Amino acid sequence: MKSTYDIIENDLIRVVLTKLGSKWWISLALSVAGILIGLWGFYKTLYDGIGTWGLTNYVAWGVAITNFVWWIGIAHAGTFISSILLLFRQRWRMSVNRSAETMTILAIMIAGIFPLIHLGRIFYVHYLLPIPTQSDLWVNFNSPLVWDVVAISTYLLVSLLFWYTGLIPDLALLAEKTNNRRKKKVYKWLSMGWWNTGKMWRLHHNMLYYMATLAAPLVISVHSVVSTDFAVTPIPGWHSTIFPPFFVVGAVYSGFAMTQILVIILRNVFRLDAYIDNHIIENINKIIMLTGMLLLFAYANEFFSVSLSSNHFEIQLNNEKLSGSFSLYFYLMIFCNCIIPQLLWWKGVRTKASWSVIIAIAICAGMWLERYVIVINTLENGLLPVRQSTYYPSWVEVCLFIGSFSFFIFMFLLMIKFIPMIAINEMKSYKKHELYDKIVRTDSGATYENANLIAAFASEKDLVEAYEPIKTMFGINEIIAPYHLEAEESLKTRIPRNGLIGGIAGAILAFGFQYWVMVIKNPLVYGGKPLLSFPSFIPVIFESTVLFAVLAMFVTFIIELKKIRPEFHHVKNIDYTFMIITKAENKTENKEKLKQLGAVDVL
Amino acid sequence: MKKERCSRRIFIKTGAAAVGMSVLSQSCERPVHKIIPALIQPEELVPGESMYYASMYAQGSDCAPVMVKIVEGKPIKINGNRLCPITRGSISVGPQASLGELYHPERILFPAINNQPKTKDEFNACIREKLDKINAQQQFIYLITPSVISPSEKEIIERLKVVYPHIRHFMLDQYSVSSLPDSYLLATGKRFVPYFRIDQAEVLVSFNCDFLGGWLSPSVFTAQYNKACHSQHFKHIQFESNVSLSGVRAQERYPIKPSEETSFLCSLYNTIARLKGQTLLNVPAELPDCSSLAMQLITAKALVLSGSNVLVNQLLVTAINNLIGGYDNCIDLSTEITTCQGDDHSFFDLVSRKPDKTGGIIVAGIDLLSVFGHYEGVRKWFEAIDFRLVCSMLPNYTTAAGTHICPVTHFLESWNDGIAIDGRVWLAQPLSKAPESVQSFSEWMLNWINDKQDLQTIIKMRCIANAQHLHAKDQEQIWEKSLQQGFYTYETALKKPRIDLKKMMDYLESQPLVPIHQTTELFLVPPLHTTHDNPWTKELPHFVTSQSWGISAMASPEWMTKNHLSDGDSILINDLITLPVVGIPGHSDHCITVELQDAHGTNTCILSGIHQMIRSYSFSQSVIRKTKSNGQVIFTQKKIITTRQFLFSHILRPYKPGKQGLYPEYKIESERPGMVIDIDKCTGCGSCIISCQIENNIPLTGKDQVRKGRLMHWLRIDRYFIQEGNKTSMVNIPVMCQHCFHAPCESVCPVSATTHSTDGVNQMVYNRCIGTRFCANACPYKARVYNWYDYTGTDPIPRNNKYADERWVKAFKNIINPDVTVRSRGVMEKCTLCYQRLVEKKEDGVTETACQEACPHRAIEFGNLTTLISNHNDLYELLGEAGTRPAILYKTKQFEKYV
Repeated sequence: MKSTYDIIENDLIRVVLTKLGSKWWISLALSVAGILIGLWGFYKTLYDGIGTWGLTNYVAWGVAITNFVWWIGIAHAGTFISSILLLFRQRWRMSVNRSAETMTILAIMIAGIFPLIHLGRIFYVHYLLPIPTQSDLWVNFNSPLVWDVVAISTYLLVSLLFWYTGLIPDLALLAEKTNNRRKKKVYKWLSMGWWNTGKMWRLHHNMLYYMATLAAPLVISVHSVVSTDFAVTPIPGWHSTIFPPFFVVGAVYSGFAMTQILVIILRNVFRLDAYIDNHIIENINKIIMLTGMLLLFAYANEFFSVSLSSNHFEIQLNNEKLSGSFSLYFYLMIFCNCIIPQLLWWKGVRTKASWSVIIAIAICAGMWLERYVIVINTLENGLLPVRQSTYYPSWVEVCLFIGSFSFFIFMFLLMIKFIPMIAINEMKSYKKHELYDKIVRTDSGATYENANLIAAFASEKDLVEAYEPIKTMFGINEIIAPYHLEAEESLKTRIPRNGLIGGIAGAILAFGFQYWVMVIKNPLVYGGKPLLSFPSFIPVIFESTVLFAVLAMFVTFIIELKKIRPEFHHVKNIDYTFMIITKAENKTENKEKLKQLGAVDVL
Repeated sequence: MKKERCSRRIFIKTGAAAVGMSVLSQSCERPVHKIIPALIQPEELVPGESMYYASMYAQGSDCAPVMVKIVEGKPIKINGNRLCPITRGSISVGPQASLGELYHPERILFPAINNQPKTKDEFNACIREKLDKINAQQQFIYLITPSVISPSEKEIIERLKVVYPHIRHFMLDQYSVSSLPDSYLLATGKRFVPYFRIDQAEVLVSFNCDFLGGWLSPSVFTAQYNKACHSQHFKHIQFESNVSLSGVRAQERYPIKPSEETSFLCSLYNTIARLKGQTLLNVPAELPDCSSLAMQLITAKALVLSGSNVLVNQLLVTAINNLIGGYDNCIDLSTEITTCQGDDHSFFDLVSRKPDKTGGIIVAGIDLLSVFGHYEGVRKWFEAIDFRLVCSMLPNYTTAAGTHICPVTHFLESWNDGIAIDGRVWLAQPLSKAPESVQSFSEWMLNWINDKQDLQTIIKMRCIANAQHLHAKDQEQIWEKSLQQGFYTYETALKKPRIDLKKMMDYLESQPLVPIHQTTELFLVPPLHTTHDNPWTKELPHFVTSQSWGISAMASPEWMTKNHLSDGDSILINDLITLPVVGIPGHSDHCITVELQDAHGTNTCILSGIHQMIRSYSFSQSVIRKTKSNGQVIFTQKKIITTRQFLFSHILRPYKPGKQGLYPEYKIESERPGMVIDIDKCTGCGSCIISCQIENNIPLTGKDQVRKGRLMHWLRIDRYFIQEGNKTSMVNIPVMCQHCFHAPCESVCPVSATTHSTDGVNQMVYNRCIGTRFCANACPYKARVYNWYDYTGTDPIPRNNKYADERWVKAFKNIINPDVTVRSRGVMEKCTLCYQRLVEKKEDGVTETACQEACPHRAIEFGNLTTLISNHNDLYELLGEAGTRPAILYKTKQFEKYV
């Protein structure tokens, strides 16, 4: 089906610009109700204490940490799509990357709430920050929770910046299209003075690739750090080196399942079938299948390595899962995670949205159960056989989970209202083969006195064909296009250099700071480790490298973006999609030449 | 209007006024009050420093010498008195937990007559009037007390009898051992109990006698037993129906039913008599084979004990001891144990007689109706008496039925003395001020006979009785020294009575032998701690069933399966009481054991019976029915039945110094503190747990919270039942924070709230802890506990509170140890190796942890780790596989064949 760029824009912006109906308001109200339930749980926890949860002295972590790991896992899909699929040049990702990135940011924020809530003395949470305190005690960099703090804040920041960078062109479009004056001002300010020039597109394109390169290791490292929350303890069931890759695979798995659910809901509610077609759904399912098989391998690995070992405690733990008190959860988990997704081998299943949603919901539930089994089964059956403790989540914990989910839905609904859930510029780029440009001059009819000629083209193909001749003939000032054109040469920017400097600075700073804290300022013995326990420093160094590199690159990007001044401001009022601002002088013969080269209109 | 300018006049006027006012205010001097410091300060009182006073714990007929720690006038801890040579500082749960009872919420604070509170003087006047009237009418007044161990109390009762000659004194013990002195009455003509010397024995055979737990004088016997265990040749054989503290320590243990005891004793007697050429007992039934046991008894210095309250059994034991020469070696007939003078026979006789000429009854120190109320006619007899004077510290069944209620003091509040066994008299001093109208029973009696001499003088007179020839100053010195050490010696000149074997045999021949039944027997045992509704003991997990906040009956697992019962199911016993039942490996078959106590809302004393005018605690036929359970039973541990091989392979690993894994070898510097715990000696009594709880201000959490698994004891005792073939035994492992050198908890705390000190102690910084509970998850021993709520009332947020029992909060706050922080909500805590004591730096350099101090068997040894390792072998690390290198090592000889 062919449509114009206008139609794309209309389809995708319509959600943002028009008033939404009662369905949106009802969903919002329900989510607010859920948030209130969560707030009640939070109030109870804060005032009455963690005692209101079902935790015991032996099972000291429960559903809250399960939720934490689950939400962080879900967050990984967005970054995976935006960074790794970008690096692999999977163009189909463009339909889903915006919603996935939004999901990532919201999931990280929600996940970050849980470690805060489960603190016994939440009013001393600032002890977790590496700042000087009155007691002169600093944080312990051996602890995975400190690595978590650094990793998750890095992840949140990088995801935010990535999301925002991709959003800038769409914000500019929104600023143009919206009629609400206040919204126009806000969008305009947020879009950092963007306009669709080639230089900006090239800068943007480069920035996205550089950030993707740095965000890709983040996908793997953040959930590895979260898994070390469990893996550094000597408790059977947790004391396993397979945890980091096992968790990362599970994270991507559950994240893609959640993305699938969101994407299909968006498609059905806003009638975006043209943009999120079965091909996209099938591709997401393919990734789900891949990670699902990897997860199945990990389960089998765990099962066999435990059964064939002579470690009595691990075997006992395994027996609890297979035939003991945890068998119900374990078999449910296997069913949801391993058996149901096998249906995806059939093409008929994996191209249909209805089946995919059901399978995706099962996977999300199965992954939650997997975290539950890992956390609580291990804690209930530790090493000494005489401990007696069963854990049942209390109402307060259930309310907190409901609150977190409702908060997610609430924020997502708000995001839908204010930001296009499909990247419009990327969509145009993706669908360009099917599109043609409807030539519409929507200016006021006035003529422009230009010193230089502007050639307008009907489609990208025309522009690309005319690019070289015009360049040789007249010289080109600027190109106006709705997306990045791959015909151009890449821009020389300072972004990579600054990124490298930032990264090295971050690494040195992280190592230096940890060295100073652990060896010089607080030379305390933790677990018999030497003062300079370098393996413990690595996660923070890694995350700091990424963080500082991304920050440096982002600052450079913004600076360079702002430097590209709109010299041809009057061009912005003309609504041609493809234009070349040539250096040709305003002469009739030039006009003829340009028309010969394929320009539809010359201004 | 003309604008007013600030002219010079106005300026000078204002300035002058200001100066004038300031001068005036300065010159109006307030009168200066000088504060004058106290010129005369009590010289021993140093704020913040603790002082130790010797005293004596007395509860009913249980007594033990104690050392009480006082801080700024408040007693905060009760330890055993090490200076006392006969007990050597052994202490059990009861005395330690009774500290909180000073502030018991239900204490009777005023005397009352017919529920009308009276002042002391009014009350005394009324009582004197009543007693005079009854005396004038020539009616009897019955005085019922537990065994009188105090010589001063005895003297005062004699004075009372002089003034009121119609007083008849009966002694009744809470748990009756009446048959024991009755047997000696028959054997020697004198009603007494001789001094059993376990430390002199080489072979000790005990039939259902829990001498370490609750028989006669456990603190004395524990010390003797410890001494005896030092010898290589000492052998302890236990025949018992239930699993008792003594049974845990026994080298050989045989479960028998209560009805089998008589036949075993008969067989033993006959075998020994045959070997010694004495007359045999004519027993028609078939008896079990005791030849090997008999040989052991003859060839060594042996002692046979029985805890049964059946006269026949005690006579048999006396006869056996006589044959094997026990009275020459192990039993001292010239000294008597005073804690068991109770005479059931005379009391039941009294009740069965016609109630004429009964004027009144005085009950002091025993809850008569709780123990005897179910016997036929006792309650009616009691309530038929017009004048019922009940003296008690707490309200109970008897005070509810009394007419005149008289409050008595806690043992820490009054002067007292008690005859120890070995020629010493223990002294008790008041260490806390009693409430206004509350006195000890002796003082009340002195009031009623209008005796102006006060109790302290009476006790003092007895103390310096032998020093009358000395100067007054020297007498004072003797008195003070006695008070300091807690005892004084006196000379006993008791004649040694003679055993008449023939008389015993005649009696035994006349008695029918009790046949062994195949039905389920009910066996009642004395409770481990006699305390009154004390939440500390209620929360302490039972040493066998690990039950907290509740009591249950115990049976064997085979019996349970035969009757389709599982742990925690309720049974109705003799249509009287419903209790949950637990299967205990090693319990004798076809038998149910119930502890006699009146706690947790159930009074199990009503199960006791009567046989030949003595209270009977074993019943050959009892009716047990399964019923619906009336509450959840809280077990704090899983019941683990395993083998020694399992313990050796997985739980305890031999200690090997040196490098383990990739970490460099941890050098043990000279000052590192550590512990060696001898698990062969640990009986699981729980004395260490209570001591730790009181020393470190560990809160009580209450039934609800314990059910949720939030018991806050820093020290717990892991119990493993070892079943090898058909032999069952129990291994108790006390587990606290192991202070690992490679502690997993330290690396995972994000805020550095737990680190390793340079001493080698794993520190816990309460004010830094934000409560992530990561350390609790990382600890392989699960040694850490968390403050889920504010259990102590110290947080400023009122909503945090969750008290075990609201009424006991004040008690907890009054016994707080000022050296230890009280933790708030959200903070992790664990054993600190009593760091506050290490820091205090004792004068002789020896520091003891609270658990070490309290262990009656000296199983815990704390000190420099290098020294400990060099002094002991057979050391094991708990969960050594985890590679944590703990500083707490366990010593045992039971794995010798596996190493």
